[in-house]
Amino acid sequence: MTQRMLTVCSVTASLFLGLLLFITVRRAANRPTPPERSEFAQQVDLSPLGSAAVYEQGRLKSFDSFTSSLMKLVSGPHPVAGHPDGFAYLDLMLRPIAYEDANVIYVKNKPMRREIAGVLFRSVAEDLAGAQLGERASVARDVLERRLQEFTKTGLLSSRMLLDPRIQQLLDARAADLMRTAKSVQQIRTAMTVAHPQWLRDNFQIVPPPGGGLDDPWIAIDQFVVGGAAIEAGEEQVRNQVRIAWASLVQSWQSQDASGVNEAVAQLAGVLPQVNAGLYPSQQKLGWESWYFGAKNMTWVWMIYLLAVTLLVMAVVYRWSTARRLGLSVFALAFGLHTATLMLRWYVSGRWPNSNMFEAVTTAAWFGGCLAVILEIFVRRSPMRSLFALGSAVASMVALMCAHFMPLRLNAGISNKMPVLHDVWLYIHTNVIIFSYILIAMAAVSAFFYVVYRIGGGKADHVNVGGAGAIMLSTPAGESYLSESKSSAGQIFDGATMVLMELAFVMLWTGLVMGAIWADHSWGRPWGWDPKEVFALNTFIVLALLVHVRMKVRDKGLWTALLALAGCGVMLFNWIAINFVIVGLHSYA
Amino acid sequence: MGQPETSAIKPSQLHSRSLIRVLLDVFSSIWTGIVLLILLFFYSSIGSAYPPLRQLPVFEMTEFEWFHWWPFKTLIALICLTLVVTTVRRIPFKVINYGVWMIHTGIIILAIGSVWYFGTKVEGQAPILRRAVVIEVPGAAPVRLPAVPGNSTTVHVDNRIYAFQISEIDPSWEILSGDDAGKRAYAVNVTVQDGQDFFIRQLLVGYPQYTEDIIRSDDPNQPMARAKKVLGKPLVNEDITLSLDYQPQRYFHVVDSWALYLREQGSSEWVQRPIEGLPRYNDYFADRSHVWLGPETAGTRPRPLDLPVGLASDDPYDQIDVRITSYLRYAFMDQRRSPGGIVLDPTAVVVLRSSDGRTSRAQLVALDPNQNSALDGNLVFQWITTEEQLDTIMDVQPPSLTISVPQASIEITEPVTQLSSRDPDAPFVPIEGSEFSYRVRFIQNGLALPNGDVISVAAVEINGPDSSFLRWVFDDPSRTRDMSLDVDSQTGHMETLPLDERIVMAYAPGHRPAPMTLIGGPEESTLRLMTSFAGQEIRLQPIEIGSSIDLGAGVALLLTEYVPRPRIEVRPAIIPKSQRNRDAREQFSMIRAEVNYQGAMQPVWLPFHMFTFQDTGHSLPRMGFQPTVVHLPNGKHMELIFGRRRLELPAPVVLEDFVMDTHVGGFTGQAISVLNWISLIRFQAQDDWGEQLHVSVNSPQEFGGFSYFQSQWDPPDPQSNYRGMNYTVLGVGNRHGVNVQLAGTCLAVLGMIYAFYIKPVIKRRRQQAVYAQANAERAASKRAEPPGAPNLELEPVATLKEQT
Repeated sequence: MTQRMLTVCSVTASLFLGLLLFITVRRAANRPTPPERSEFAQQVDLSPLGSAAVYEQGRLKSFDSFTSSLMKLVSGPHPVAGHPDGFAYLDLMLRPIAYEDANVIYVKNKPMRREIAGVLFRSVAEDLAGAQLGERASVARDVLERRLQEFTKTGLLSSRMLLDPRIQQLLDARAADLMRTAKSVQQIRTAMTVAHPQWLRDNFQIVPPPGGGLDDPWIAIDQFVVGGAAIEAGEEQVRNQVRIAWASLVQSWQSQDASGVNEAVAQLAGVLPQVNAGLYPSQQKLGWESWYFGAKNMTWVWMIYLLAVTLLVMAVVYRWSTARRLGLSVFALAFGLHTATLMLRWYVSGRWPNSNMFEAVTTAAWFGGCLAVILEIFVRRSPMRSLFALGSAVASMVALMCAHFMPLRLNAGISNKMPVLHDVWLYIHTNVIIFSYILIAMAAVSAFFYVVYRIGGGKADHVNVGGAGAIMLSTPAGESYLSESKSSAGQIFDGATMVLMELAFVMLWTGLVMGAIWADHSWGRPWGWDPKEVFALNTFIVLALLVHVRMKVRDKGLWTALLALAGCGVMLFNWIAINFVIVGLHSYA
Repeated sequence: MGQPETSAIKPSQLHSRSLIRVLLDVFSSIWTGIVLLILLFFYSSIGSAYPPLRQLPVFEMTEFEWFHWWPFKTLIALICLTLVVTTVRRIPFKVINYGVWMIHTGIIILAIGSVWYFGTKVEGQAPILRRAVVIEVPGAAPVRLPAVPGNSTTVHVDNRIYAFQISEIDPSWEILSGDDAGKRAYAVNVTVQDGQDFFIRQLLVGYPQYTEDIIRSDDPNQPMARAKKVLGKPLVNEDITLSLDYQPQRYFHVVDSWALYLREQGSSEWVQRPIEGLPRYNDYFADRSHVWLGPETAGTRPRPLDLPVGLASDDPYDQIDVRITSYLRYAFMDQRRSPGGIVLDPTAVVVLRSSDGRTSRAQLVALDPNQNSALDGNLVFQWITTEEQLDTIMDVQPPSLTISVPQASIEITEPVTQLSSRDPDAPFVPIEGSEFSYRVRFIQNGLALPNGDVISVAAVEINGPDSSFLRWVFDDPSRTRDMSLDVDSQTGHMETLPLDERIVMAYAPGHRPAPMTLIGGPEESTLRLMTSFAGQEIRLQPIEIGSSIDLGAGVALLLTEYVPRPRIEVRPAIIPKSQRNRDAREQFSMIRAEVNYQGAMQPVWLPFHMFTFQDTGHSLPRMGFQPTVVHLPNGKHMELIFGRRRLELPAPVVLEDFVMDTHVGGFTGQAISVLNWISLIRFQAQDDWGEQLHVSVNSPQEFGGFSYFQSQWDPPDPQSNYRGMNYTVLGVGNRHGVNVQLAGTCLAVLGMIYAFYIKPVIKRRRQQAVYAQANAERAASKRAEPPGAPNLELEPVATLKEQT
């Protein structure tokens, strides 16, 4: 590579890493300063309860998994008052007074935050002016202003402020606008409902139905202890044990007695399975589920991928073999952890993880990793080596970052599938489609490098073999088509792009066909011009354009790279905008 | 020798040949294909990602219509043409090109299959009710009553009237005794009223032997009991035969289609007139006076529509001409009152405004019991014809209990002043001269029962000489009953006790005017406001339009409208776009139809119906059905329905059973707790019902050229105690050409694999063969060459190129 190319590559890589750093720092800055945790909060140990089973909408979850998804409904991506989710759930339920004026209700929509802050500020200012408090009024106004500024930044406000009649009036008005603001109002009201102690009590369905079967509903502990469930005479002793443990937990919690709580929690966790041992799920599975959510779904693996990306970029740009070896080792570590996470989720959910956005994104990234491992073995003597690992590392890093930093969009909660998804075609069609998507994303990485190479003054090069399959084979003379000494960086990047794009071309088309077969037997028609279908087809059209344009233009490498990037853009539009913005038959996917 | 061949061709032939050549060149150009693909990309993107464009008044297209419009069809046709011409002219049919040939051929086969598929596509929905009750009364023809809770009918035999009503349906009734104890069945309870006789007949699907009646009993613990236990026989009246039968469905309704249905009142068959060219997404009306426009829709400009509705084949009402002059996408009929009427029907609009800016508006109609109160009865509008009536309204009577103890000859009437629900320390009041004492726990006045009765009740805790109990004392003494003070731990309910007749009580709810009463009359211009707040004196003051009265606590009442003789107008109110539910689709649409008969024209607004049922009794829960009646000059009455086009199914279909599989814990009210919905159906086959077909999610069934898939179901509604599961809605659609489409797509897949992965292997083998041959030749020539000749190892480039 020329000096200029090296400079362009280095600047681009630095910009990319700088952007990552900026996003991370900005997010950290918007995080609310958690209040100092009390001695009680620090001493309480809820780990025995963490792997107790809780019933939620047709599914038995571990307590940690259950509270993790519920507390996100209350305070969004932020922990409730800085507490772990399990502690926050019990504290909101048993000590509601402590939260009356605490900023724990999350308002997601930013314009709505500004509107609420404006109404609150104006109305409180009017009240203060009317109260004739003099100097104290200006102090109170300053305090409110700071609090509202914090609110517009973090999105957290107290129930008390949101229950202000003027805010309720504003929310009523916005709820009437079904097109623009009703959803945001619904989000706020859901957060307030879920944070309500009575709602938390009613939904704490932690007791299996005594003597009941699989179709019988689990019972909220409050209801159980007051005798709301029929029970055999011999089982009354168990009920008494639950009653005593629960009463002790409530009392100790309210009196802030940590040792009492710890004792009651252990007692409760021990006695609950005895209510109906036949129905109680495996403790081992619940334990792993609890661990998985305790480990934040291991989305932090993105940081290891980031390290792999850094090293592999150096390996590709500088042809630095030590960086390559290190980069591949770190990539292998990240991929290993990614695989372990996926397998763990498969085990605890009881199904292959591809039924919601979180699972689709993280599983797709894992597919990319699998392919990268295979391709890296194939091309270990070709100059294309490290490029596939780099593409996969970038795609996986971005996927896991999205899951990590956007927990509301990519909800990691494990829930049942919609009835229509209970079909073997879910596994065939969806996996093939998301595999093609990750191929397109990986191709975009090598295409991006090609564009950077050209901006840096690289020659208009491309691989000149018919069919990308040829690039993977050796020449009749037994050499690689792309040789270390004869091939330019342009040919290497273009070759990697073509290998991935042609595979994506086949996979996407095959996935579309499989989707049509599934739709035909599920909805009675193979194709319904649903936006998701149309944009998958559009992505394929872009790939078809790539194949044909490459045949006609002189600057084949550049056009291939640009169309690969365009294909990636259309694919992302389909995956993000169509899923979250445009309503269609695939909205649950 | 003759002239050269070209000289024999005329110039015009030359011209046409060159034109054909130019066209062939154009359509065998890859650039043409590229341009067409780009156009296809933009066309698809715009139509799919930006629906407002295809929904503009100039288009008014669904997604399906956008992708079947001529520009799209033209694009696809040109792409196919380019594929064919390019493939034939430019891609030699040989081994290494098989992949491209397969891809291109596959796409053309797919296009042909799609033309067949979409050109003949019919898709719709068929709702199927589970059962009908067949009623047979001696002396009358059998009557079918669709099994929907609340459905009722009467049968007249001579001078006797038998009334039947479906009081309850339990889709999963557990049989408690007999050989089938523990099994569950679909149970339909029918209330039968035969003069003074009243009983409930319970019918179980699959178990006619367990049909039995439930009657009133004298046992206070069990007011309703099995006839078998009380009378010793299962049926009260064996002459009345009730049985359950299938309820066949003959039609399905086509999606995204429109039709007008009409029939003469009394007829059971609808005549269907398809409507072509009706808009979908925008509002069309000729005059603003035809609709109500709110603040957000005030700027809507009239957009006239004049669409004739064609006659049906063999239309019996061909003298009735119908034109559609308005279409509203999202509106509801709204009755409003404005000045200018003749009949006295006083109407007032008041606004309550609190100091924090909240407002509440209410329209009150004094003479209409359903519209004369608002705010949960706290605001009432009453009309008086004499001033004396005012005294009655202002009269305050506290609630009271009349208590008698017959054995001690005691009868007293005591006002209710203290409630233990508010004051748990309220003492028991001894009844002098008896061993009883009591205190009132709570009172509830004006409770509306489902049958329309309004009752009042006082819950009284009574300490007797030997026990304590709770008595529910109603204003209707026949309802009064005693309950245990303890809650049953099994059921969570209080146990009913035999009525203790040693003490008799009656409750009078008393009277107190509503906190705010608007009083009109006796003069039409006289309007007064009476306030009666707890702890305050009753105040009466005059009120005028525009005047605001301070009610205290920062609340003011403002009278904005008062019309003693209003003109009542019913028009559709257009809902602003921002408030429309996108999922509702065409559900809230309506048309204005002008019905012309013998020179007379009548305009009517017809709301949209998802399904056109035979009559109200055949309609399904949650699916409104209300034909609009038009009175013709000849005295006849016509019923009209605006709905979707319906087609006949290949054969009538019935719903044998409907099953819902759930995850652990059963159905929670959310679809996510459901595993599957299964409709067990049968089609009519000659004189009987054919084999049972299981239609479930992801598992459609084929019959008569259509496939049937699970589309909707009837969910329970715990709030209204409705258990649901009474019907299913099946999707119905044909699938012509699907196999051709599949063959094309699979061929294309094979072609791609061939072109990208097999072709390179073939090429490499050929290259290896050429290399081997070249090396062999070189080795042979080396052996033949004299020693010392130069070693020239040339690449057999020409041969390689030829081979590849």
